[in-house]
Amino acid sequence: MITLVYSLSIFTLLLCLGSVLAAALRRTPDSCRAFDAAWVGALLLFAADWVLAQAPPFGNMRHVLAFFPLVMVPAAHYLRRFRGLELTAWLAGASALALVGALCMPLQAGWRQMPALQSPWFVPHVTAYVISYGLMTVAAMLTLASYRRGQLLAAAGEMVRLSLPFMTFGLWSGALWADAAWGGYWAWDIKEAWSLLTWCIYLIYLHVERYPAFAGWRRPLLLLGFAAVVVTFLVVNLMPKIESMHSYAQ
Amino acid sequence: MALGAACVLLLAGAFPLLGAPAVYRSGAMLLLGALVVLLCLWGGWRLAAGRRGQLVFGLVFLFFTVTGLSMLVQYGAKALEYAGIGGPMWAGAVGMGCVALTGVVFMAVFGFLCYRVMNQRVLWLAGVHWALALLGTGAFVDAACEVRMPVTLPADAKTELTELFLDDGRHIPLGFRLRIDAFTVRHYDDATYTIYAFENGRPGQARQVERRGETLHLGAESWPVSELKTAPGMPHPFLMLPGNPARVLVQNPGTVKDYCASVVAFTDHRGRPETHKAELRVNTPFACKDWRFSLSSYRQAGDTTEVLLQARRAPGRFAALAGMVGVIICTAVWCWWRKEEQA
Repeated sequence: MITLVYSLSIFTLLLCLGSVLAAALRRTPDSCRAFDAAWVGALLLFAADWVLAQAPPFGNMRHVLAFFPLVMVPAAHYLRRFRGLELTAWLAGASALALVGALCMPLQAGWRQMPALQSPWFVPHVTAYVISYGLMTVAAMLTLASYRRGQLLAAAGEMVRLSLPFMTFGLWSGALWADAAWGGYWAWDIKEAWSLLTWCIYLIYLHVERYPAFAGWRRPLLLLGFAAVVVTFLVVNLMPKIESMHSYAQ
Repeated sequence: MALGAACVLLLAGAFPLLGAPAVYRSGAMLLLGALVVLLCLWGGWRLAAGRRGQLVFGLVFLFFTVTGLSMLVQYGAKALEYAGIGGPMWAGAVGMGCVALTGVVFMAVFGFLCYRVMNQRVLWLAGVHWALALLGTGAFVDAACEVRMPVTLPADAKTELTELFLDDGRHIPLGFRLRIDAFTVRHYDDATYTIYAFENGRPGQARQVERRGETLHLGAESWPVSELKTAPGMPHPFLMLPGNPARVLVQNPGTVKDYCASVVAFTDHRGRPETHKAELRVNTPFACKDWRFSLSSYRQAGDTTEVLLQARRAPGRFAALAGMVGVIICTAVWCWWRKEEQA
């Protein structure tokens, strides 16, 4: 089963990279097809992880990173169909990045769900955050690219508007869950504080986005928001000296 | 500006190594929080200019829509649970059906009204601001009036909790008596086994034993798992092994799967005594009068299990939670509403 998980991870990664390559060669339909195939690979990977963990596979960083492509493909379809944005290559690139991260992390087969995680909030809370972080990663990539192609900044703003409701749900559903599990909806845990900080930065972006006078603030704010995402998602969990109520996510 | 200042303060406390979390409970943070709440109220008021009545009615309808949804989820789950613990299936099904029907009617009627009234994107943006103000107000009320205290109660069916002793020396009577009758822990099936050899009457060198099916193996020796027994004063199943030096084979418990405390609250309703029984679990708190008890942990103290609870009385909780739900819904509608449909 462990070999299968690694094989599926590599298979999905190759398809994501293939999608990026096809887009670079201006073969958009092939890029879309490769990314759709990557979704099938990601679905099989998710199923294999579930069987291995004997619970919804969101127990560690590797699980979460391996889940990224599963939500990026529907996002690409949504953006193409309802927002008129062709961002398949960007989403495939972000998925490939996540899969490389997943492959670098140890495979903890015997994950046991602790009592606090056995809640109906567990899956929606984590899923919403995975979707939002994935989309915010793409927004940051588009922001960086917009230094050369200015029109991509509008697409980055669109990604933020698509992603923010997921981030909002993740943040406040976490508080609702904590109210039941820990006896209080807010405890100023370091992960909570960073999540709130990240959310606030994106709120500032949405406030200044409308005003031409603040046009110069957009890129720095989007990059700052992504830096906060990275700290919330990775640094807080990976730094061994930090004590957090969310330490089971390490 | 206020949001930027809030970010700076949040960063001051949340910096992974040198942060000072005390900043979150400081006067500056409270002042900034109050400013953000006032700005949210003002922002919502300004955004809804000329359509304030519409916004208020829309939010009321939204509240009832969410109430319908929560009725569906909460009582539906309770009906299923009732059927699951041995109640007649038909009773559970009928109960769930009735509640589901009421919830669906609530959601359909009030959801439709909400959709008709709040048919402009900007009203949802105003809703985000007002929901945030509600959330902030609830959080402020809790910051000022909340009582939160960890409590340790033995699961001996005798000791009763009647009041809380706060760190500042105050006694707060609960207004009822709370007792824990029983406590159960379930483990995953990943127990490990260790053999301890006694040296001078004390357990010395430890060796891990491998389990294959229903038998335990160490080198050429083997023992059936069923031979391990419990005894008073011994926390885990064990087996004394003959020989010199004497050895004991001990089963180390597996990872904790869940734990549950059977609580009983003795209270009164209009002068008549009442008894409430409930199963307290990690994600299922127990509420009685104004108090909520959450199950935090447990520890073994001799033969007794001591249960660690979190007792909490939070008058702003409902407002804060309603604000959170409002923020989630209004943000989603505002962000995902297609721009060309704006008024």
